[in-house]
Amino acid sequence: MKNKNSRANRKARSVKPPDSCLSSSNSNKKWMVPYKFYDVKGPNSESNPNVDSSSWVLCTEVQLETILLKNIEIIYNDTVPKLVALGYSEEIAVKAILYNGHCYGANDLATNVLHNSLACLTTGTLDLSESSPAFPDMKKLQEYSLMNLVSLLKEVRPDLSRGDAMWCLLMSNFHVLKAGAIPVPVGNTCPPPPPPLPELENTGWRFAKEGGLGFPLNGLFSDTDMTIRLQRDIEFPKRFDLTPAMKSLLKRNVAMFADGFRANSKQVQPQASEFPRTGSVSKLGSSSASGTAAVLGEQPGDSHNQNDQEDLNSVMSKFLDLNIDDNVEFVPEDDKEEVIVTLVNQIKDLEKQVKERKDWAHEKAIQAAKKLSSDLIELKKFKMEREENKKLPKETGAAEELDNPTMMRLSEMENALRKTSGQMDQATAAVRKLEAEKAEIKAELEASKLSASESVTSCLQVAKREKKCLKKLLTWEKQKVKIHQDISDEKQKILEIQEELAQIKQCAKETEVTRKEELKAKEEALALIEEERRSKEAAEANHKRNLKALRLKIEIDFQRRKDDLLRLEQEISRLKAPARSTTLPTSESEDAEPQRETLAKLLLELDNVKDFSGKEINGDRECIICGKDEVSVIFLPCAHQVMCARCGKEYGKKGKAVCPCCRVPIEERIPIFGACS
Amino acid sequence: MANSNLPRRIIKETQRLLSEPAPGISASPSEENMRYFNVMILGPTQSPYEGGVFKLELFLPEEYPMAAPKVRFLTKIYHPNIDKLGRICLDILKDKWSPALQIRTVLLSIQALLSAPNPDDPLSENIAKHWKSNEAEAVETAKEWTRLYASGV
Repeated sequence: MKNKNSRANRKARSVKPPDSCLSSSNSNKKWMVPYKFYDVKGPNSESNPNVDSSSWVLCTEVQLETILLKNIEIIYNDTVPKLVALGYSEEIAVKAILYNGHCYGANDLATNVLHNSLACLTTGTLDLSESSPAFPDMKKLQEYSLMNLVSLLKEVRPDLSRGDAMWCLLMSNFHVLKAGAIPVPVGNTCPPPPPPLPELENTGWRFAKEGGLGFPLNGLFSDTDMTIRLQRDIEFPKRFDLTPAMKSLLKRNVAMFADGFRANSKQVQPQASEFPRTGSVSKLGSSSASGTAAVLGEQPGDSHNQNDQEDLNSVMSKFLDLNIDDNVEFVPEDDKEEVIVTLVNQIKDLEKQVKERKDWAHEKAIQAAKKLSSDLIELKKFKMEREENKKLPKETGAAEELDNPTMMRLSEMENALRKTSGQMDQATAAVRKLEAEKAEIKAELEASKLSASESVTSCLQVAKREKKCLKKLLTWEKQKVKIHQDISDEKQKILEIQEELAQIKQCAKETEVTRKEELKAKEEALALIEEERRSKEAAEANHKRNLKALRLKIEIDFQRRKDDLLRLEQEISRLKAPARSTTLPTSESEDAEPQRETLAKLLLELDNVKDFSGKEINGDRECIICGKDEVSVIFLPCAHQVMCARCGKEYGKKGKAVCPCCRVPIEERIPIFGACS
Repeated sequence: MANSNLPRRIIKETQRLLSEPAPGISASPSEENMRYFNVMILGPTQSPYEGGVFKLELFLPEEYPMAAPKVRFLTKIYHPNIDKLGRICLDILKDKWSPALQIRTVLLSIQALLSAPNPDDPLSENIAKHWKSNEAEAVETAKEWTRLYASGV
């Protein structure tokens, strides 16, 4: 159980590190971007003639850009008085332009800006007063619009370079559709026509799959990311209902464009004037064209989601590896394992360095390719100028003056191209070195993996041993428990036996006590018995004496009574004679009177008895009229019962319908049945 | 002959009168006729007739107990409800008779009448007037008559 808990704790701990790794990796990526640009300057900057040639080369694009910006400023400045003429104040007009005065639409830039700002004013006038505009200044808005127009042309015509796009816009007076229709006189490098939409989708999917594999494809993948971002930036401003999040995104995009613009302006300086290799340029162009075509076929949101998912998958795969390493880290039982952990950390650091160097190399290659393409475009322009100069012989003087600086420029461009090719060679050499280092690192990784696998196997064995030991411990613990139980049982038995002994001793004492008591009782009983015998003997003696005395008394009394009887007989004989003579006359006279009285009474009683013999009834139930029969009639409503049936009938006949007891008129007579009726 | 035909009620009443006489009253049937009773009532205490012994006769008619017995004073008495001939003005001896009443109850009622004369329903008008106009004198007259006629004779 303990081991399981510890393992769970380890897993819980292992979950935390990937978050910190994510944040650290993101921060590292962000910091690396400006650092790389500074590195680019150091080794590439060379002697003074490069500076001179760069100034000449910059003249073309810089001039175009300045010209375009001036024209855009003029257009934006013209829109403000137009809005004021329509009836709006200058402040509100400026806010409307900054808020929604974008350069997108089907017409000229001036008309587009005017329509968009008017739309904003008509729909959301209140919002202007409350919310802040998307762009702080007109200058930034102008730069932003220029960059967006250029990117639009590139979408419509992916083969064009930045300079060509600017030139077309200048020619068409900032009308995107017209600019898209203007042809560029470069026949050899035109790409094939784009395939239909379903094939575009298929190619996009394949391109996305292949994106994570080879060296050059990775770079191109990053290019596609940039184009996707541009597309998203382009579409969002068209919506009138911008949310704060969207506004913040616009600000970020503006900042990114500004940074990109600055970087491009700096990069142009060290370029060399030399004709590029047609093969390499055609390959790069075709690959970029295919990538952009694939992107066009898909919606920007979907592509963005797919890219995000791919990035997440790669990150998760890395963190899974890290998790494995973390698991290894939590089992540093031996010195060897500690060494392995240190090696793994070193490997991680080396991998990071390798990645950084790869990214640097990729960026260098991309920059070189861009420079080559831009130089080629400039060469084409110069050729066009030659043809135009030839067609116009009247202006020969001016043409001759121009031809001289153009030839100088061409020579400078060729030199720049040579230098860039040298830089390419150096970059490839650096890449080869990095690959060798990568191989070494891979070997070290394999060795570390082997050691890790060995450690894993040893850990497994140790775990098995631990399991066995745990089982043994469990069995031993069970045995201990049993032994403890046995010991406790034996102790209980001992206690019981001791208690029994104590009880037995007590019983013995009690029995001894009882024996003593019994002995005493016996002695007492024997004494009592002897006393009783003595008392009995004495009693018997007294009894005999009493008997003798009684017999004597009896004889004496008997004799006395006989004498008395004789005397009485004599007296009786004496008394009889005078009694006869004296009593006879008085008795006769006295008895006559009471006899008469008693007879009268008896006669009366007899008369009475004769009449009442055998027919007596309870006095309570006797008829008050006849005095013979039992009451058997109820008078209603008084409910008195005082007459028998016969008397009741007669009583009603004479018209005396009144109760004899209460004199209430009798309304009803109900016969009742008793015991005698 | 008559005694043999007496109703049991009369026999029972006679027996009871003889065995359990009421206080101040004695009634005994005659030997010739068991329906004829000789009655003696003592004058109630605290009345003008106190100390006097008054003789009465009581006769049970043939309808008795459905008819009231007939009672009459034989001794002269100065009472507003008793006339010269000795006839008694008592409701239970006339319309208020009830078979539930007996000889005993009748005699007790007469004794009560001596204690409480009722001049409003007189039988002797003169005595009633005298009794109403001058009760004290009437009472004295009654006492005198008691001494003259009801004493010892």
